[in-house]
Amino acid sequence: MLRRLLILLLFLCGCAGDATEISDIYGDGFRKKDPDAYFINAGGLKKRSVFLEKDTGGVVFRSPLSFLFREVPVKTDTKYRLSFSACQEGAESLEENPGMGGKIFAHRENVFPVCRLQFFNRGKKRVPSDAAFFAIPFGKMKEHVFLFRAPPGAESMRLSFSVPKGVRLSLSDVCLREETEGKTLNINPRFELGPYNYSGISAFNDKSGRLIADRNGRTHLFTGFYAVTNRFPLKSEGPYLLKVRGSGYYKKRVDSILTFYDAAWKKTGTSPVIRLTPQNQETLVFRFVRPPQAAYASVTIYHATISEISIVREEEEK
Amino acid sequence: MKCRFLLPLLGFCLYFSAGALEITRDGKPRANIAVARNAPDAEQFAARDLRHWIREISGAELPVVHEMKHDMPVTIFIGKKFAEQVWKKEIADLRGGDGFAIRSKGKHIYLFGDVPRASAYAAAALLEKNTDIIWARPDEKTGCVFSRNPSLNFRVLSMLEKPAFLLHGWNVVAVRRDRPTGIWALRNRGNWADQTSPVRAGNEFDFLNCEGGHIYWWMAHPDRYFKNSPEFFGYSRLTGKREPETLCLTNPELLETAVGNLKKRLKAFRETPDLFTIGFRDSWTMCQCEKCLAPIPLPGGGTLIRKSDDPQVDPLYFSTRYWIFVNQIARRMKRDFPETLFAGYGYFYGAEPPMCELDPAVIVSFCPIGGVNARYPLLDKRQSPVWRRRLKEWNRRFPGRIFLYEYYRSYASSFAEISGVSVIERKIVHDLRALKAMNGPGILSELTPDSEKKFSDHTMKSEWDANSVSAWILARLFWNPAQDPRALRDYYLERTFREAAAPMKEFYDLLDKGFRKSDGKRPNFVNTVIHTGMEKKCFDALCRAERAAKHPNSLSMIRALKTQWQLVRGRLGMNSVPRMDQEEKFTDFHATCYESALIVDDFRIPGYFNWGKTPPAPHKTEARLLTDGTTLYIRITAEHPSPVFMAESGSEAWPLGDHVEIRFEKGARTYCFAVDGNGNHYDSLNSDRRWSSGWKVLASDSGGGAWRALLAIPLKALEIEPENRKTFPSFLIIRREKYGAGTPGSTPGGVFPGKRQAALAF
Repeated sequence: MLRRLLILLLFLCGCAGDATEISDIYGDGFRKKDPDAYFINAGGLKKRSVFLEKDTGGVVFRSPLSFLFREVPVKTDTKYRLSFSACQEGAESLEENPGMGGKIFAHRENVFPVCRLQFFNRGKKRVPSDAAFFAIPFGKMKEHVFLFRAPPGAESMRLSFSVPKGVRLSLSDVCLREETEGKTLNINPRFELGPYNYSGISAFNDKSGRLIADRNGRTHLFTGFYAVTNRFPLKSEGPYLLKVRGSGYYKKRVDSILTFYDAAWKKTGTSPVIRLTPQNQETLVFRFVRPPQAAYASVTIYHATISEISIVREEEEK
Repeated sequence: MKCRFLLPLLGFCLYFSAGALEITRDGKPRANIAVARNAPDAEQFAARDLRHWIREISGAELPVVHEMKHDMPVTIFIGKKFAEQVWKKEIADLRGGDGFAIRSKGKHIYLFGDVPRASAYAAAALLEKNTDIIWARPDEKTGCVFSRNPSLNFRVLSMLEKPAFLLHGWNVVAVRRDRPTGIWALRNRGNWADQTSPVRAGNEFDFLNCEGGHIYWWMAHPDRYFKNSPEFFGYSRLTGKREPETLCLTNPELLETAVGNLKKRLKAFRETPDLFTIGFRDSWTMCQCEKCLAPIPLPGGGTLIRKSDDPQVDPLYFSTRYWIFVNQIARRMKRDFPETLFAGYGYFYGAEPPMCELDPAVIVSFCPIGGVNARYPLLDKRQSPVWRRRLKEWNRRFPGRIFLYEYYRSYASSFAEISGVSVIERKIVHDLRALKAMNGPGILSELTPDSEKKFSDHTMKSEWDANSVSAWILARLFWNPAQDPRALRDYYLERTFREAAAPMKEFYDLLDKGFRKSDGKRPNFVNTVIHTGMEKKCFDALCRAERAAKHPNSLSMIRALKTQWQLVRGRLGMNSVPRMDQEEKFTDFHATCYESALIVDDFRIPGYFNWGKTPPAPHKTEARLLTDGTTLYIRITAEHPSPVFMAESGSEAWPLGDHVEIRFEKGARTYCFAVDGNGNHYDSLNSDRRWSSGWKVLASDSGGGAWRALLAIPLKALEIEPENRKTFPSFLIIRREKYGAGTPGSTPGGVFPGKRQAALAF
């Protein structure tokens, strides 16, 4: 008990320490090497998981069980960057079978360890989020970076790592901090995080939707029937610019719709269809103002391969 | 003894020859066709058409004359001019419509009506009643079936028919200027077949002149007005400015400009339109300026207040706004065009009956599209309550002013499905009868022409190959919806297919059975044919019809239908794996059994990056599938001059070099197999490679510009029972020559992996 109080004290002191990390359970490289310091309900982890020293310094946490990080405070609508190094053994890795890339955004029975975000309001009730979950498909240690926004009403969050039976996850250097870079309101506008990172994408309508690389190695979003971005906040009336770059596979056009939501994420309306055709030379810019009662928006894109979806305030483009 | 039979025989012959007029004898003409020298084009056409078909049937070319001549015993008079002194009662009866009459007096036959096109109806009816001819489809070479008869006698010489509706025709869409389709429509009593004649021919068939439609730009085109008069166009709250997509319906200057432009346009037409429709674009977008969103004062007091900015959420408000505009236009146009019917669009938001009254000049083009149940009549209790209510309310408030605009034969944006005539029997005929009971002006339906040209990704002709019978029955029901569609169907099948009529009837009966069995489901090919188990029986009936057909055009139409059947089946997911005897040498690459296998080829690169274009794969791949009832055999041939394989691993591993992967999907289960030409192989169930299917790679080799593999997969591993179609999976084959950026692999037809895949059948 005393030990736990001491750890808590250290934890609280740690919160006042590093100003860039939102909490000191992140960014310390697991130096405390104690599951209770980082996770909740850590009893099973103490028996089955282990902290290992890396040859290069630092500590790796290895676990065959799922685990939950402790809650940390967040601010609504703030953009965050989560990064960690991870690998898994037990599931067929991406290095062994590149076809496993199709499993990264699979919701049902994912074969890989998956990191999910859980958000809570002031009353500690779960708050819905449309951020993607992040699968860990690699067999060799690799850095993963994910960007997301805290949803409306969120005051705290925690990371949840689920590890399928028969698989072991290795995790190190977990960092979570506010992200200040990037002028677009939406996340990952040019899919620069690579073909295995679905940050900024909320959903696909069918199984053919995925990220793919062109011959130059640049990542594009293939929407399948349609894909939907995460919701992004519209803090002012605008005007805003929506830019879409890409091509369509059905009837030589790309149709997009802006969907608007109120402060509680309840849908308030949609824009007319915005169409990109070969005549637009593969770039479309649509100017709009925030409709009444709208506080958020998302973009739905149909039948397309997209290299960019970006929303900015018009004054930032000048 | 002989005399006893001779007398009745003579009586018999006399009875049947009484009233018959000899038109040709032994291939020689015995009649003239008379048409006035300056007769309208449609009557001239009737004369030429009659002469053409009599020549085709009998070999005799009847002279066409312009007045009575005595060199032939019989004269067939065409046109009102000849008939009006002789058949005054009939002329009076037909006045004001496009009904037709066939009459005879002595050795003269008269074909006429009040309008020129009626003579063409009469000429076609005369041929149809007195020979076994049918114009089954527009195709000029193979669309008509008749028997040759060098000695032609016409016995049916008295007919008078009037159409049920003022409007009974077709908007021929997708491919314009298809004259054979216009002629087919005319012979089958349509009075509109939009833009089927060449421009220079004008209105050669005297069709109704129906103009307008999506005409906002006729009122004020953005190219001309947007720069200097943006206030003519709709305001968008989303963009904060005027946009050219729609018009501002409350702008008084726009109204005057619109009326001026429309009047100019109508005056420039060769003929004043019979019907002019004031319609908007295919869009829900409406002006969102303050005036266009303001409360609308209603007749009799009260105000209509808008509930939403979105016309999809509040169609009543936006419909009322639109119909007020239509009233204003029609009221002004009517002064200059008193004979023209003006219509508005009962379409998109305009489908909701408005709160305003309609100007007496206005009728409604009621267009039930979007959310309509394709199985049930519009007034049936199983129909969408929204559409049922709308039609009832339109009719209650504006009786006799609602005509139907439908899409009975418009597949332009997708492939035609072979649906038989069940929808006509169970829905369309009832809609038309209800329309007649409502005294509606009529029915106009879209129709794609019988043309080799493509629209979207298929030829228009393929739609006729799949569904000629339904177009013909519809044409007859447009004329008279009281007729029995089943009787019409049988008439069509007997005339068109003759010796093959019985198996064709069986084919359509089976389609109907599938339709009834799938009640409650969307009436498409998959639900009515595949899932009801009708597929094999239907196809067998078609094959029997093909064997029985004797007339070359009957045979041609059956074969075209059969080809479409196979295409639709393949496209909608019925790739049948042939079953062979177990004695066959499946393990031999060169075994003859693979000649009869299901072939999967035409591998293409999916169109991710180039607007959907799917270029052929750099190297060909082919898979041939067979089964012996317990095992699925797949022979793969993958061309490549120098394939790069992963080193032979000796145990199960994903082949990272040139390889083929095969995925079977059933519900939530994905069975994956991969093989290369170097002995590497892999199988997994839902990405779990610990799963073992018990499959074998019977052989693999490479050389001579290709590598090959022979696989044997137990059907049990895929949980397939050949007698139970519910256990059949969908499948996809992907060929990958290497992994890397921009190398997505190739698939049959360039289908995107993950999209709904083709189903296998056993």
